[in-house]
This record gives sequence, structure tokens and C-alpha cells, in this order.
Amino acid sequence: MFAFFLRRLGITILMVVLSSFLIFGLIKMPPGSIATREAAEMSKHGGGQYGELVERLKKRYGLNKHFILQYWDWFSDVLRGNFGRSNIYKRPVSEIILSEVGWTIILGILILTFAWSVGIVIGIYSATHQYSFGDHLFTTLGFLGISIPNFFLAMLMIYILVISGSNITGGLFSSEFKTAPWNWAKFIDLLKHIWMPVLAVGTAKIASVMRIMRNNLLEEINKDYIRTARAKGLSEIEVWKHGVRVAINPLISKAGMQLSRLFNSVVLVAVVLSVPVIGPTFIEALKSQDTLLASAYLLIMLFLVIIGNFFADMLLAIVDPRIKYY
Amino acid sequence: MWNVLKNNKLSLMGSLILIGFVIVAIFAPFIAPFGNNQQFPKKGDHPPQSLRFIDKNGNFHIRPFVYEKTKSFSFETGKTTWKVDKSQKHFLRFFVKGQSYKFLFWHLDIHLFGFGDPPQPVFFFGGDPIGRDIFSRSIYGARVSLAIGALAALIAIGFGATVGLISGYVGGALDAVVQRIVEFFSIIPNIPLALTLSAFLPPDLPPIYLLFGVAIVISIVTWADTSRQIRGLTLSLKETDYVIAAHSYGASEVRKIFKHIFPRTITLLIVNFTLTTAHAILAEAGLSFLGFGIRPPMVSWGKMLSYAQNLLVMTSQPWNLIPGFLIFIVILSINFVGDGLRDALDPYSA
Repeated sequence: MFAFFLRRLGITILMVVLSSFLIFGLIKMPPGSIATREAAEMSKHGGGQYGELVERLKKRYGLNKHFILQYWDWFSDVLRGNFGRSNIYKRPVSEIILSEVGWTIILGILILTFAWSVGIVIGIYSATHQYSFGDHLFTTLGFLGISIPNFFLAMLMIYILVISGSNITGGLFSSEFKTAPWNWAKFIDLLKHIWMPVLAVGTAKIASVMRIMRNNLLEEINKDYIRTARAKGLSEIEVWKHGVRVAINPLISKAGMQLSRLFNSVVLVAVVLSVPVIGPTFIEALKSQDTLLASAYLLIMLFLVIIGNFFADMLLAIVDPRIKYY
Repeated sequence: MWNVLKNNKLSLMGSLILIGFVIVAIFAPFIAPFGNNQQFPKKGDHPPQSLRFIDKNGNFHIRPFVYEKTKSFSFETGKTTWKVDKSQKHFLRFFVKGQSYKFLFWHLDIHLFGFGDPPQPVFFFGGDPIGRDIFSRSIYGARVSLAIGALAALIAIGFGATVGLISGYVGGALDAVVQRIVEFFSIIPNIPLALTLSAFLPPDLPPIYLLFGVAIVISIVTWADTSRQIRGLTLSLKETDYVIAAHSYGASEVRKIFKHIFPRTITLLIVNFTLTTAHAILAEAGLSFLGFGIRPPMVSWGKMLSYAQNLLVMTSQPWNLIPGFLIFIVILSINFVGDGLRDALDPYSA
């Protein structure tokens, strides 16, 4: 088990390095660099000759070094938590990102817990009551759930709320609580807001978890060991427990993928509902070509997914004793 | 494939809806009563008009009509209201002259239908804030959304299948390296990566290139899944008796891949094509909604939705949300078809 842990850790670190390298390549892809951009700006304001300025700035930013060395400079800074300065906000990138990462993790955990618990329960119900009215209903709802674009769902939710006279249209707090210190009232206010992104993103997640769970459990339920369990006279609940334990494993192994998909929805929904998680500022950074800020976001998302994958692997190894420790 | 769909009611319904959308998309300029950027300056935020058969006097007309709506602005409340003007009826007419357009090689100005003589601006789905017909734009939008979806899926499946086949068949060091790259692309969040990549599309790209550009960007973020599945299938097919038999009678590597292994992956490719198209349409909608992806003069459903991002527009002119329902219907239909195909063609998958 410990060797397995170490090996997975090794692969995880390898993935971090590889992905950071690819992202660095991505930042370097567009023509021009920070040097040419700043030089153009400076020479416009009479700062000197353009070509000369470019050379000087290139030296200052280390852009005349070999690509690998540049990467190393950047990556070692990133590891120390230094992502550089944002061009548009004129602040250190890490400062901007930090609070958003916190909320992203909180929101992510809420969404996953919500979607998984509801999805698994419905999945179990559907599989054990195959072709019943409830099963058909949930299957239909599941189809609707995976088909509706979640940012559109978020928009519909706002519309319905506004029409019904609510003053909650997004965000995480009402304006009077935004800067207030934490207390019970602020927490209640948070609850009044946070269910929107959770529901908007969670609906599709519930649908997909439910479908996978239903299929897996249906497959297990027809196997011999279930029949044996029934023959031994175990209660239906006990029998289901047997199946569910096995049927849940593929879900856990897919948890890593789910985490990556989570960002797809969260980014869009966060823009619609203006939730201060990874999303709105990332879009802003891309629009104004703030490459350092944008790449930091990409990197953070990747790190979160890779770390999440690692935990999912560990969890699977604990839950499913059949996993080979390779 | 038809037999497969015939027996599954939902799949059948889905495919019929899709066929309908595709036909509308192909003949968009003919079917849409107005151009995609045709503006009616005084008709901004025009509410939807409904088709009627019975007029205010209770007379039945076999030819449907709409009532004119007139705008009035109240200085006391500061609000604009639209009133139905029952004295003005615009009757439905077929094959009316309108804005000219180019279809394939022909320059035409005949539209399938219009209202009133001479044709009046009539808004089935309402008008957007600058006075363009949302119905017509939705039809043009179907063209772009579906084209990008199908194109992106085609590229993603083609590339993913090729990489998967080669990587799985050759194996060894190549496979190890390729699989790490595939892994990178499957764990990196699709939408954020697509947003980043489409930020690199030059701002002065001509529309048709932009369409391809967006499709390529989306295919970059969606190919990995197919590639991994095809690799897995290839790995197991490589060891089957009939491929080993082919090897024993001296079949070349190329022949083994294309003649023996590839045909067995086609069902999986078809299923993946439908599901990837759904993903691609959603991705395009998301990108264009956020202001990346499609740019004017082109229009797509996601782009149209970005008007409704403004809270005021959304609540007072909710018809700007209509394109979202169109995306929903199309994705639902594709999922029905894809699910039916998967159940029928690929009984082993969960």
C-alpha cells in the first residue's frame, strides 16, 4: 500500500511538471512578448528607441535565455507561490487568486457532496425499481439534466427568482454582508446565495452520477453473489448493500474526471451568477491578454484536478480491495 | 443504423428533430424571413407576436395573420410598453421578396414566408435590443452552432481515432509518451483551455476561417476521450485470434490496422461522434456566450444568449433566452440518438 502511495505520488508530481511545461509553452505561443509590448508602450511615451528597449527589457525579464531555462525560472517561482504581477490589476497574481481558490474549493466540495449523495441515492432507487414509474421519471429527468447547458440553467434560475420577487440575483453575499466580519447572520446570508451555483452546476452532475450508478448497479444485481445473498434469506436492504459496494467503485475511479468537468461548468456559471470563484477574473484576464494571470488560473485548476485525482486513486484503493497496487 | 433507431422511440424522435434542425440550418437564408444582421431601428426589444386565425370580430381566417404592435413610452413611469394594434393585420404570405442573400452560387431574394404586403417586420421570437429578429437570427445561429459542433466532432474523432489506433497498435515507448499527453488533455478542464486557446485566434480573422478556428479549438479539448477508448479497444483487438491469424499469413501492418482492427472500432466511433457533437455544441455556446468563439457578423445561439446576461434585458425582455432552449432541445435530441445508438451497437459498455 505504501509503495502504491509513493508510486501514485510520483506520477502525480510528474503530471504537475509535465502540465506546467505545456502551459508555459501555451503562454509563450502568441507572437510578441511582454518585452515587445512594454517597449511599444514606452517608446510611444518617448522612453527611447524601440529596438533598444526591447533588448533591454528582454534582458530584464530573462527572455533571451534558452526556453528550458526560462521555464525553470518561471516554474521555480510558481512553486514558491510567486506567479508574477497581473498586468490589468497591477497586483501580485497570487494575491488575486488566493481568495478565489478558497471559495472554489468550498463550492466544489459542496457541489460534489450534493450531486453525489443525491445522484447515488436516486441511482440506487432507479436500479432496484427498474421500469417503475419512479425509474422512468428519474431517467427522463436525468436526460433533461445532462442536456441543459448549466449556464443557461443559471440564467433561468435568476429569471425565475426575479420574476417571483426575490432580490437575490447572484454573488455569494448581499451587499451589506460583503465586507462584514463573519457572524451567524452572514452565514445565513451565504446559504441564501450559495445554493444557486450549487444547484446550477449540480443538476447535470446528479444526472450523470445517477445514470452511471443505475447502470452499474443493474449489472451487479444480476450476478450470482446477489442471488446467493438472496437465497441465504438476507433482507432486500442487505442485498442492495452487497451490490452498491461494488457498483460504486467505477464512480470513484471517475471522480478525477468529474473534477475536471466541474471546472467547465463552474467557470461559466460563476460568470452568470458573478460568484467570486475561479471564473469571472479568469475571463477578464483572457480578454485583456494578461497572460501571467490567465496561465496562473489554468495552472491552479490543473493542480486542483491532479491533486483531486490523486485522492480519488487513494480512496479507490482503500474502498476496493481488488485494486492491484501497481 | 436505421433499424436501430426505429426500435427506440426516443432515439427516433431525437433523430427526426435533428434532421429538422439540419434542414433549417442548410436553407437558413431562405427559411429565415430576415437577414441575420438586418436591423429594424425603431423595433428594438420588440416583444414576440403570435400567429392568429381568429380576428377581433370573431371571424376565422384560413390564412393566419399577426397583429401589429406599437410602442409607447410613458414619461411618468419611464417605461416602454408595446400595445397590440388590432386594426392592423399582417397576413402570412409565402415566397415573398426580402433581403437578398447568396445561396451556393445563386443570388436570391425570395424568402419562404413573410407577413403583410409589402413585407412588414414581424417578430415571432421577439426582437433583440438593437432591433434584429430573434427568430431569423436563431435560424442563422442553428447553422453556425450545428456546423461547428459537427465539424469539431469530426476533427476530434478523426484525430483521436488515429492517435488511439497507432498508439495502441505500436505500443512500447511511443504508447507511453502518447498516453501521458492524452492524460494531460483529458484532465485539463476543457472550457478553460478552449477559452485560452480561442483568445489566440486573431481578431481580424474572416468569418469562415473563424468558424474553422473555433471548431479546431474545440476539437483540441475533446479528442482525448475518444483516443483513449480507441486505444483500449485496439489493445484488446490486437490480441484477438483473427488478427493473429492475419499476422500468421503475412498480412502487412497497414493491412492489419485498416482491414482488421479499424472496422471493429467504427461502432464506437459513431457513438462517440454523436456524444462529442453534443459536447462541442455546448462548448461553442459557452465560448461564444463569454465573448470568445464566434464574433459578429456571424451569429450562434451562445452568442445570442449573451444579451440575456444583462439582468435588465433578461427580466424585461425574457425572449432573449429563447436560443438557450434551442441549444437544450438539440443537445437533448443528440443525447437520445447517442444513447440509443450506444445501447444497440455497443452492448458491452455501461
